[in-house]
Amino acid sequence: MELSSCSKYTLLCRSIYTLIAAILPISASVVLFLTTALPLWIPLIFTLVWCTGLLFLLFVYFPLRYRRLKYAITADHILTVSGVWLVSTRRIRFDAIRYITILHGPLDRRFNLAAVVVSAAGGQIFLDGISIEQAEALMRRLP
Amino acid sequence: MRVVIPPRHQHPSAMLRYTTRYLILLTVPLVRTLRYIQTPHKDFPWIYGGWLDLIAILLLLIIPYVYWQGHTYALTKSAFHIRRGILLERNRIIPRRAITTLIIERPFFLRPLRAARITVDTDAGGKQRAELTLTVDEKSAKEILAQRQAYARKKLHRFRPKWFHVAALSLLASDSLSGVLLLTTALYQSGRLLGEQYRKTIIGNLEAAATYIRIIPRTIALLTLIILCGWGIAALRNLFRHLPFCVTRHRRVVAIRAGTLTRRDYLCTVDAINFVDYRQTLLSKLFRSYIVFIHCIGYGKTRETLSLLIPASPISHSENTVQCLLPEFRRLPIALTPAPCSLFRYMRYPLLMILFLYPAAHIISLLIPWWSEVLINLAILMYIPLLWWLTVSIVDRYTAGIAKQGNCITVAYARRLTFHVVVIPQSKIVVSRFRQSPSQRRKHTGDLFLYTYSEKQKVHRIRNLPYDGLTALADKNTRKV
Repeated sequence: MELSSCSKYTLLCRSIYTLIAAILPISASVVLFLTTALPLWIPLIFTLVWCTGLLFLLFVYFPLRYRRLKYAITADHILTVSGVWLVSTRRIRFDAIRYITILHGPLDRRFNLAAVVVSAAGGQIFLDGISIEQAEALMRRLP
Repeated sequence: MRVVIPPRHQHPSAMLRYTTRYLILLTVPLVRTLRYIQTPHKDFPWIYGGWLDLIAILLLLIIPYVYWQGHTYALTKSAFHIRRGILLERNRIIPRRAITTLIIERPFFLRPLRAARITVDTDAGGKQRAELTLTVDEKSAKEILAQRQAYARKKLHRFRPKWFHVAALSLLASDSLSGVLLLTTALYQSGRLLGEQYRKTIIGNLEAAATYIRIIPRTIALLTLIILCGWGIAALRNLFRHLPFCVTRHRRVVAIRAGTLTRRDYLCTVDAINFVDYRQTLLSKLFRSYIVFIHCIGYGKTRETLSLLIPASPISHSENTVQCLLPEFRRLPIALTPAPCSLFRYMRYPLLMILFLYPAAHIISLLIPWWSEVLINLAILMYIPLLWWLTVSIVDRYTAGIAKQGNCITVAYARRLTFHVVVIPQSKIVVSRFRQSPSQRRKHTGDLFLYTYSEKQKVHRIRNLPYDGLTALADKNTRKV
């Protein structure tokens, strides 16, 4: 069985979303730096912590995650391989699927990307970085 | 893909539900007003910050509208399609064959607005929340209901219980705690609403009633009275929730209608029913009556709803009605009972508690002498449920067991203070487990655990069954099949 990788734009798209979300800690840092009552080391440590976290996400976690994320949609099941430290392989049978949710934000639509949550009795599979056409085809295949 | 209902928005009253999520915004005008009130010379320039209040209120109006605008639903011949969100769009498709329960609620406050609430549940998803909840107009609700019943085809059997059977159920199934909470809130608020004098009169009457019970201290008597009143209130609430009750069996669906103030229609797919549960307490066993429940994911999910099929009714009547409504779930007479000399295994926990409760209370009262009277009295009161538990355990020893024929398994056991006779199709059993302790290994007996299909763990346990009998039962049926 041949496993497909997620779209090459997924990493870029998720990184941009993370940078947008970083507005919150940036604003918090600005407020902390402007608060004269606080000693300088508090905003410095806070900024250092979130900057390290952000850099780790952008340059270590996301590249590894999306490099390892693979999936296959066969005649009777969906299979995903994912994980950064612990790699897990999940398989879900089509007849066990109860419903499907497709998620896409404005950037995803620009890059023709979607994330799909496949819900079955007893579990879920999160399929990130597939094309919108593939996601819709998956929806149509629901028995 | 035939469209039954084209993409539509929810009923505008759904915006009210969204508004409640953002009531936190009202803290802005509230905090400002409080600050103004607490300023001694009223020199806080309240009016200059009025724009903040305006923004908060505008947001409270705009956000629910935007949410409502971005939430549409459609129904095709084969599935529900839901679209949510403006920026982050979520499209969900729920195939109709995956729906286990469809609930249509018509609360009294939505009826004048010609709106109804629809809840759809499947085997997947969370334990607490349904997969889909929509507020729709009455016409759409009727269309959805008609579609589901058309899918159900013709009516096979209808059952309407007598009102006093529903009343008996309401009494038996009432949750005292919720009633007590309601009562204490009512007592607390009565002073404010009806005047302090009225509140004092009610509490005075309760205290006077408590003094009539002379054999137990006044505090405990008052507590018992409050619990009893709470039980009554909860029973009354249950009665309104279930009356008038009606069950109709269609070809593939069981339709249940209940509720006075909030009318509810539950449509449970027969294939999705995991088991039928005949329940009895010690009292209903004496009166030879059963309450019958079904386990179908989505039905009875909320805390205050019961997954009821037949309210309290005589044994023969309830069995016949279940046979008419759900002939797929055939109840069998128990074929394999617990091993001889199992009585102690059944009654050991209540027996040990009865033996050690009073000495334990006595020792604690020596350590905390100022609580000794209350502790001893509480220990004596605790003997009532413990003796009850002991009796249930003894009866359970002689009524528990298992039977199997074809695809159906019937198990009888007691859990807490309730007796259960559960009819499970074999296909709905996920795991079966036979557990033996060292002494059970010597006697070739063990406890049987049957785990059935459910969103959370659902286990049926029959204690101390003989291993040989169990394998013989399984083999006998295997040969038959």
